[in-house]
Amino acid sequence: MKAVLPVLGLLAIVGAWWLATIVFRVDPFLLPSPGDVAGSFLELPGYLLEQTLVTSWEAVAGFALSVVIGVPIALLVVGSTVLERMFYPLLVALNAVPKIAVAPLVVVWFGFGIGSKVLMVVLVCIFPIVISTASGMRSTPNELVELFRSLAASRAHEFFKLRLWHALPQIFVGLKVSITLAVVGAVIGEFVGARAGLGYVISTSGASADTSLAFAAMALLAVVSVVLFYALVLLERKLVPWAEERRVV
Amino acid sequence: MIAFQRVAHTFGGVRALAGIDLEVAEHEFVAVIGRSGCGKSTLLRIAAGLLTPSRGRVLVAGEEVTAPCRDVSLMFQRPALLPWRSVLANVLLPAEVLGLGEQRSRAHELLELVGLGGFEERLPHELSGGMQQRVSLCRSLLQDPGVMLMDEPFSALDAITRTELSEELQRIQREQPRTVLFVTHSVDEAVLLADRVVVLSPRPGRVHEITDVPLARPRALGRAELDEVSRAVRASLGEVTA
Repeated sequence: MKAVLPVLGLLAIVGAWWLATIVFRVDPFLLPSPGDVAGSFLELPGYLLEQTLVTSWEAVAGFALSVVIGVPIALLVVGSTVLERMFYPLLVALNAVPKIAVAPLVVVWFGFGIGSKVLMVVLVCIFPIVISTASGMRSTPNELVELFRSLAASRAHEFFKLRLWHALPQIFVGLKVSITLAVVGAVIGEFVGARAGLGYVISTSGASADTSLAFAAMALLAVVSVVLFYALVLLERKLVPWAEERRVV
Repeated sequence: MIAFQRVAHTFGGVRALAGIDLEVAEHEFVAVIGRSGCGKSTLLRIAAGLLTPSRGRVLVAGEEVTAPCRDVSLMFQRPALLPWRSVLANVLLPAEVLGLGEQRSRAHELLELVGLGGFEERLPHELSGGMQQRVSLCRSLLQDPGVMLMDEPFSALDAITRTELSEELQRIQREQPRTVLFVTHSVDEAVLLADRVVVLSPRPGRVHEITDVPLARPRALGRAELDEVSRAVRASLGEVTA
């Protein structure tokens, strides 16, 4: 039942789009109809799915790497005022640089292969993860911190048995923001220089004026984003069942 | 067992406590009562080793308190349970953090003692406020502390649950006496539970008067002799605010 409404919404939008292309007789070069897009996909399904896998892999690898790097950075930042003062402003400044401006440089450094794409993904993903983890750990209620102190808990206990757990719901907020950005990051990387991936498909289809192919690739990108996002939502429900009842402290 | 010696504390220029002298004998139950802002919680936190007093010192079992230790447990106004841990895992937290070894069977016993047998695997948010505070009590008891510091532990509960828990605490205290320093807002609760009631005067906190409660246990709320002591304590509280 829960799936009915989103499907209905999607059908309504696709229907309106299709209707618009027929009623206004839009040139398929400008706006292909959903039928043209589906046709494009069916011409090269194997190839497109392969490119989808390439982009998904880049996004997932970069995302995983961001978690592996980002969470420890947050731990260090929360754990040490000195480190925070030294590096936090730098991190903010780094994040303020438009990633698209860095992309050509990243490709120059890491080449046309997957390395440069994964790095692009890390660049866009890591900041939300660091911020959400750090702020989640900082917002641990004072009472719980006092409880741990009254038990003569070590810093390690305080961080790994209390703060990190307390931060989990907020970490997931950051993860959900990051996972959608991950796909964007991968595509930016592919735009700038690649030999595979959906971003590559889109940029080459522009050169050959194949608009429906570009649309098919975009639709696949959307599917990838949605699938990854909801995979995280499922994981969250499994890992953080208490978060829906946050009244308890 | 606990001795406050001229304990004074200042928070950023504001005097919270001014020269507290107070002794709590072993297995004695002392209630501390006073208006908000009289430094009751500060007093407990100093005894728990969470705060270092600006002046004076606190001895527990003859040794000066400089840091939290295993023999002293602290219980809060709110249950302060970890929402991601089951009831059992919450009760076992002190064992894990203090490295007390296997305490599983003891945790079960304690939960049984407060009527929470069968709730071991529940998460805190599935329990009522009273049940959560019972879990918190079990957690305090798990480390088998000689001294229990309780910071208005029942004040966030409704009146009925509050009475129930006071009775339970009385029973536990009779079966296994410990030294208790109990901060409260409620005169009736103080008189019901304590051997002595300390009235603090506010800003800065000072011991105003200590009232003995020479009544046999178990005590029940509403008895005439209890009311008499309550009146005395209320009168003393009245002087402080006047």
